[in-house]
Amino acid sequence: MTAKIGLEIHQRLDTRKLHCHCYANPSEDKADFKPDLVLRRRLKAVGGELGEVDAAAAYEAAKKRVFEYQVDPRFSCLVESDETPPEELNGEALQAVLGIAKALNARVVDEAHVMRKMITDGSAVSGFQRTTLIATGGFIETQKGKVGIQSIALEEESAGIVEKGHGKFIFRLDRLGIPLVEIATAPDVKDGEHAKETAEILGRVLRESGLVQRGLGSIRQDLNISIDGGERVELKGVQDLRLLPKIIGIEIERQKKDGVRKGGETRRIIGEQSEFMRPLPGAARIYPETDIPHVRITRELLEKAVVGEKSADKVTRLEKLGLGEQMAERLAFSKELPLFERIYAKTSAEPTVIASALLESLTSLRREGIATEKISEQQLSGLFSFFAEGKIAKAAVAEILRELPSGKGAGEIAKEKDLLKFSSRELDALVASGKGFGEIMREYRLRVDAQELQKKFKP
Amino acid sequence: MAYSKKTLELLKSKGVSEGDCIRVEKEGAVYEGILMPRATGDENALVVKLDSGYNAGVIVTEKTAVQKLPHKPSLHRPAEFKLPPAKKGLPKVSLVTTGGTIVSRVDYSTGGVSALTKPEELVRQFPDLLEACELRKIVSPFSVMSEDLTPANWMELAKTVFAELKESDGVIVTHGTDALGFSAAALSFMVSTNKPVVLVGAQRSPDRGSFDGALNLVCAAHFIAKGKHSGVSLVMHGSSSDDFCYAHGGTKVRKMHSSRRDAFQSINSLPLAKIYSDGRVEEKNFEEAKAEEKLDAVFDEHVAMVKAYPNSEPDVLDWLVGEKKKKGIIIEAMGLGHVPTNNAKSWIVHVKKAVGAGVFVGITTQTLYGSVNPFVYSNLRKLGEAGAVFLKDGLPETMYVKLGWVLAHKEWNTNEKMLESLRGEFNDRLPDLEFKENAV
Repeated sequence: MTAKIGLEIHQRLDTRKLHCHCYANPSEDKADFKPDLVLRRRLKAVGGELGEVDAAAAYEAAKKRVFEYQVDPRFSCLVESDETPPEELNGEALQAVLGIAKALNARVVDEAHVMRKMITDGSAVSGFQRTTLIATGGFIETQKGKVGIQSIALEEESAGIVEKGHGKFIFRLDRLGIPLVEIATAPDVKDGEHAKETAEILGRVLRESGLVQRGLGSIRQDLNISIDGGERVELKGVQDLRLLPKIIGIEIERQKKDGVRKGGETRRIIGEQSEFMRPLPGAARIYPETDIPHVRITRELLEKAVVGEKSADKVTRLEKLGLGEQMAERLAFSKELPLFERIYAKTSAEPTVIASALLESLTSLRREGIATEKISEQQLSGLFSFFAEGKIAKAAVAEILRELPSGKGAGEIAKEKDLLKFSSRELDALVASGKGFGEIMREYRLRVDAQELQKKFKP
Repeated sequence: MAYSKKTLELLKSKGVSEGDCIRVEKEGAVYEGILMPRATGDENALVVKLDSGYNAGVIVTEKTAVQKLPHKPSLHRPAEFKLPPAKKGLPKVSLVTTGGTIVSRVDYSTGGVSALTKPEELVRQFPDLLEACELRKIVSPFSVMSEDLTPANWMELAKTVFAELKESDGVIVTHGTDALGFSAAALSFMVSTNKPVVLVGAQRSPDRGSFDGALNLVCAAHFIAKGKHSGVSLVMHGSSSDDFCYAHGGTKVRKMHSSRRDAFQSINSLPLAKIYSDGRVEEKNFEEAKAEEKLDAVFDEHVAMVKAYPNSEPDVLDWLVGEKKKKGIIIEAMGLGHVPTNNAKSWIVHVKKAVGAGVFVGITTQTLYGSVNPFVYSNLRKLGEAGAVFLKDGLPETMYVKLGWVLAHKEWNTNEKMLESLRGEFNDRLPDLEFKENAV
């Protein structure tokens, strides 16, 4: 038995949408979302560029479903509602994907053509997803040899489904149109472990580009598997890379036992198993998007595209600043890295204090329900300058962070909340009053630097 | 636009033509697929449709190697489709296509767009049509982008529609949307009938799943089958959803958005009917009236429409009358009918001069909503005294078309006919409904 295995990675970019000027980060909590408007639409089956009606499209359309779309005008516009022509390809997203193509050693096309890929399950309001081939013929090095990169495309994210069942299909339009980088490998993947390694390398290259969204659902892996030269099965939605070896093993066994439908299958992964979704879509479902001019990718444009700094180099650089290995690694892969670097350059505050505030304190405050998104970069810089000047103790940083959403400055908060650090003379007085180290720390934890106090006891 | 001469020569030297399978190699990159025709973009770049379905543009340089590959077996074509037998009791409908995208078919092997000409082709695309009507015939008098239409097209369209009405119970006219309002007005005046004539268009192209024309077409057929309204109307989406369409009177409808599905709205009147996707028809806002069966397809092209605005040049009237020999001019004025009156660029003397030369000058409003009024301000009276005729709540475009039609009747008194409501173009009771629904 021979198995052919390929990976397809979809990664959201952290830019405005691909064909309009909306910006949306769909990972934000929307539990209490009430749509301003709900659209109800139907989709009909349509012919492809070469005159045939695609089997996959016809199959979906045959179901004659009504789709509802929830509109939140902050995160979508008439483009997502399919009520006005799209804008040209987002230049920022193009720059990002050109950098990624370079990092993957791929050949960029001279002229990129935006295409329409027919999607009739309702997740694209227009009935198609706009997708543009940017590069072909790349490769990455893995422990088991080279894995070819067949194609790198820039495409629109689909609308997220909110509710399904009982004849109802409700989608929300905020996610629709966010740029996705789609990377398809050649069927060079040897086995499950190799698939995991390949996915990890691709994930790292994407994060290194610096322009990708983070959080749940922002990166997705699909698998292509066929055995003994048979029909191909596309498995959609691998949630956890650690499951790749198991999923691949189960799918190969399933294909041996059940075979594959003629023309191939698209299957949805549920846990480690999968279920049939629809026939595999053919090339006929892609035809030109006539509303958007082709994009000439010039030498200058390509030269301007930057390959992201390698993660290993970032970690080394951060360790040199004095961060511990673990903290350096976390920060290197975090989207807070640019913010960290700006604050450090401006304030020269102790790097570990900045890093732990950005990576740990802010996260736990957010989990407590504190509106940390209201904190400005200027306020943060103010806080760390204040700390660097010795006005507050390390322990007070998190307490002041908690109050920053009010809009007040760090100095004002420190005074109001009695968080100013004790001066050397005040510490002397405390020690002289006969209190022990432990007692002082318990009582004045937020106002005393432990190391400074220690010095008072061990001169 | 096609390929450059240089590129075509290279292709010719390799024996390659559009539609052939080719292999293009350039600086390490390999593209295999079908050579596609080029419509826009860099004329030195080959468009290759890859096996994945993607198109890629490859610029031809000295480093580009092109090779012809053997033809792959052609992809299967849809099987022949036969029109099922018509259901009993459904109205016979003729479909008149004029070149709008709504009933077009894209031929990607040539890049060309052609109109569907056979009923079975259309029914295949819109099987729901058969639930509403018996599609008798498809006629295509001409195929023109709607912005390129001329009065000659309007007259030809009117003749075609009238001829079809002799055999059919109703006619559906498919049309580009930009000038659809003009054609609706022209047909309204030129065709007098007791049968329904329904214009439809589409705001999205038919290649996409979300094509809006499908619902418009089916609703038009339902309106013909179940509606009592006769004469010319326009059926398009009533909202951004695919729930229902509105039927609008042919002289009171206007395209009010450049791209939305529900772009067409009744102005200064209410829609004639609401037609649901399931075929229900709710009619209101019109009185049944018996009309004479008559074709009156005439038009005097010596008409023009101009807009008056602050600092506009009133000399344009002298030019239209003197150079272009216009016999009638519709002015899109401001508010209740104002034109610049008391300053150096006053229109009054020019209007007086035109009227003096026997030219009809009609006043409409740029606000579209509401009526003009010759009395409220003294400046309006000055315009009236100069001989301009205030055309009530008539839409500028409808008044323009009506004027050309009226002027073609030498025996008519132009002023009288222009103020008489002949096809519902004036509404002496303006509906008092909420004007703007998207107030913050």
